[in-house]
Amino acid sequence: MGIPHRVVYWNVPGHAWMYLPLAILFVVFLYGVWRRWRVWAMGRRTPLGPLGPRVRRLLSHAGLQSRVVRRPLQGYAHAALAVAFGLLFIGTCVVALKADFGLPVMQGAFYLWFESATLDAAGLAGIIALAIFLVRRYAMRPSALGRELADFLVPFTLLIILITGFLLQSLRIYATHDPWGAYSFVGYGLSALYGDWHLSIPAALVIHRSLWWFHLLLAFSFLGAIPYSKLFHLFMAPVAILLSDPDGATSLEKLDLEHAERLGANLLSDLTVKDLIDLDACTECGRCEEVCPAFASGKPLSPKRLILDLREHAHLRPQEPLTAAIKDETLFACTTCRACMEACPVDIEHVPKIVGMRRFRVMEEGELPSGLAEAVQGIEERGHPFRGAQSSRTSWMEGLPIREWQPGEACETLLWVGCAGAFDPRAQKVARALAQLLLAMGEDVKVLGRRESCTGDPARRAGQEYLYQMQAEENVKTLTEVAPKRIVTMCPHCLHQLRDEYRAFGADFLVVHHSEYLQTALVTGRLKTAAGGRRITYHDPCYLGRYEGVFAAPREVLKAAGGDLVEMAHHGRDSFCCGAGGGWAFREEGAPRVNRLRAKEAVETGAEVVATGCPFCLSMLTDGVKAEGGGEVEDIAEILWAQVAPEVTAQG
Amino acid sequence: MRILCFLKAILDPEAPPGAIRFPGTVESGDVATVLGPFEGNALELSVQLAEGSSGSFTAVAMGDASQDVALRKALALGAERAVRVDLAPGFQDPLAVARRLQAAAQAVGGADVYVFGRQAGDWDMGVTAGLFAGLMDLPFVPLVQQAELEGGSLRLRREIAGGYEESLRTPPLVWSVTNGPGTLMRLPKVKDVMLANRKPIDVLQAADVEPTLVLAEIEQAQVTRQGRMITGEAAAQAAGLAAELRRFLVTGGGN
Ligand code: SF4
Ligand code: SF4
Repeated sequence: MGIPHRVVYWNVPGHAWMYLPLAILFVVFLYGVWRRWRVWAMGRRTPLGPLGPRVRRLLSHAGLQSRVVRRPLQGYAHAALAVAFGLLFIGTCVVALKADFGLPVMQGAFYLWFESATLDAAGLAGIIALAIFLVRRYAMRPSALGRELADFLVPFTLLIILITGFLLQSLRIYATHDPWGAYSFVGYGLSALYGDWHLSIPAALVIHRSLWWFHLLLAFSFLGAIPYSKLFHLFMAPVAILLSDPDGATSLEKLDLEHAERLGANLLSDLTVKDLIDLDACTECGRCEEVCPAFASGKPLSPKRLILDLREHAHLRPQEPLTAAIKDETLFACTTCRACMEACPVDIEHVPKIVGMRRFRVMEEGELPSGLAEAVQGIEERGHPFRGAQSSRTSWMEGLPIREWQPGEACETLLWVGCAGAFDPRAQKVARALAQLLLAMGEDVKVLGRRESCTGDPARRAGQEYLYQMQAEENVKTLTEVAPKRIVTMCPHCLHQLRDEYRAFGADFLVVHHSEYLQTALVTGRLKTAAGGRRITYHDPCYLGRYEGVFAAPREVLKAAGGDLVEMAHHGRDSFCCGAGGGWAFREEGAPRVNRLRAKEAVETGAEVVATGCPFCLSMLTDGVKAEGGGEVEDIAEILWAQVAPEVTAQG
Repeated sequence: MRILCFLKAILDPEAPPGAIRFPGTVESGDVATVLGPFEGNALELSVQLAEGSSGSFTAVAMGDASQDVALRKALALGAERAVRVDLAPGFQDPLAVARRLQAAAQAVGGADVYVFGRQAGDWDMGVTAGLFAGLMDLPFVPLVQQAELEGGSLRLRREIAGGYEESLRTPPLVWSVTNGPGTLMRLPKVKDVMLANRKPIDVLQAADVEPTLVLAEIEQAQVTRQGRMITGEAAAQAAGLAAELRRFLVTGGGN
């Protein structure tokens, strides 16, 4: 028998002709890549930070497909397919090394265990994975998956390529009585059938030869189609992941208002290279759409559609303004909840693109949806977005021994109340509860009072970067003068600004969300609670959870307050937006409203209390839960204060 | 067409109750000064008219530097010139205001149309535009909601009971603008705002005029609500109502 091996191009005289389609394949492939390259080259430079975290992300998200497998069925199927094709690609390269360069690589144990057994296993895994894909797409029919011709052709062609591969293998084993055939266990199994069917050897040879060319041409066509289809994500997904912001692009880019040629994005050249590569990296998996609150509530926005529309625009009308591809209703429907970005397996960054295009509409063209326009104008004119507010910045603290900071004073703990805490009657109660907790801890609490002004977050998310920057500069100036030891805030939007986005304006303060501060106080025994016992479900605010990564602290506070915690279907990183973000807190929303969807989930847990840690979520959920017939909606500070107050009184 | 648009920035009408204490003083420093709402409407129609006539407009305000917010808005929306008639803040007698504005209008070379907001949102008197027209001896069209150029004339539209009234007027003339479907002030473009912040505001000295009206005292109205049900037969109800009204007229309400 000699050394185990197989003859490459067995039974294919004239196989050298295959270099002709191969050459065509190369040209077609390169042309396709060039077409896409042309678009990427239009982008502006992607601001890049250190490489280390990016590479780690690449290894995890692309190498280990850690995000893909978050959906176990299709996730593991996809991972299996990726590994299978990776192995089959290596196997094909080995064949080429032997056939074209005469290297003795395809023999012996390597041939038997890798080229035969492993690759058969890979091919089989690929077939199973593809079958799962097809069943999911066409039998289970999730709405987030497209069912156009290309959506069918891609898995179907791959399936045919794999099946014909096995058929070729089996015919060869059958016709040559391959002594090592059993290692190629799938082909071997099939070859056993041919004997039963009395397939003659000459017929087997003819079928094999024809099938060989069919398999080859199909595989080449498939490869050639890659740069023209969503399959291109094979190449671009890793690049998109590598270029993605390791912090999840939670902080928006600071726009150079003085020097920017255009404020915001309206041409492809206003987007970054990463933005443009994102368009080609999209796998059309639809996960972003599945988690999008705007889409779920019937607004004209699907993050997947947005990416695909931009892709089509980039390739068909690269010189035209983006407004031709993306309508205002779509742009302004986004709540900037980041659920899409968290779900996207290839780290496509939707929100920076959306805000970039909003910037153009708002700053260059003066367009803003009503409600949001008034809120933004409110920030400009009176430093807060709440129209018709009946309070001053300090009304909420009447009767509490809290003082406004005075110039020259030292400041231990600065309570950053936020506009909601100051002007929204419901949130004022939260501010009071929090202030009382801080006082119970013996803190020397101060507030900025009239010196506090909106962080500018609603303006920035709406696209009014100019106003935002003025607010940011002013606030950083004030805070630098106050120089508080720590800032505690009850608003996740303020938290995100003060802690992260203000860094671009020279801020470097110790800022904590009240949940974090209260949790520490509970752990260190500075706060004592009475027994509780209510069934509570906690809603993760987008800007506290997905933006700031605070998930455990509020839950710990609730537990310490005697809460019996139950989780909603969507929680933690997968939390579902309350509907307030991106300026929606100030807009009129038609039915069905996002907050109703969220409230329904909350009510379904059977909890007596829905807790949250954001004044905007509080207001949205209060409306929603009431409409859904649920119980109380409270901030964690209120829940904790209710448990702490009796202790304080008891101690006198 | 030369357009002069008169603006006034006022203490934030959305300031919480109690934040502004009378007479005319502000209790705390966090009440903002904002462009009056009807002046916003006047500004919008001035912009539209300037665009329609491929001309421009000049914005005029009177007061101290706190008026600049109004003038900067106008500059951001395309005013070619912003003029502030320098005057200490506080209550101004409308006739004195009209006289000073007349002097200012003459100082900047006059115009074809003079556009006012229907009333300043702080004192809400609504007479300055009419007084100004009288002093200038020009026709006055109040409460305009739409203005279009037609040849050398202006088609002005006003809302009247049950419909609209349109009139074709030949400049020069004075009109005041009220809120309506097309008068919502547009958002300025940020580039223009940035440019506007660098443009100069011309300051004129206010003309010396004798006030005819002096603010002696002002009191904040106390809101009280009292309801009384008048029951009984229809005739008894009518008699009861009449008696109530009579009592109200005599005593000015109360108990
Ligand atoms: S950020 Fe949220 S609302 Fe906006 S597109 Fe993504 S999932 Fe939808
Ligand atoms: S953007 Fe990401 S999550 Fe959305 S369809 Fe494309 S690959 Fe999937």
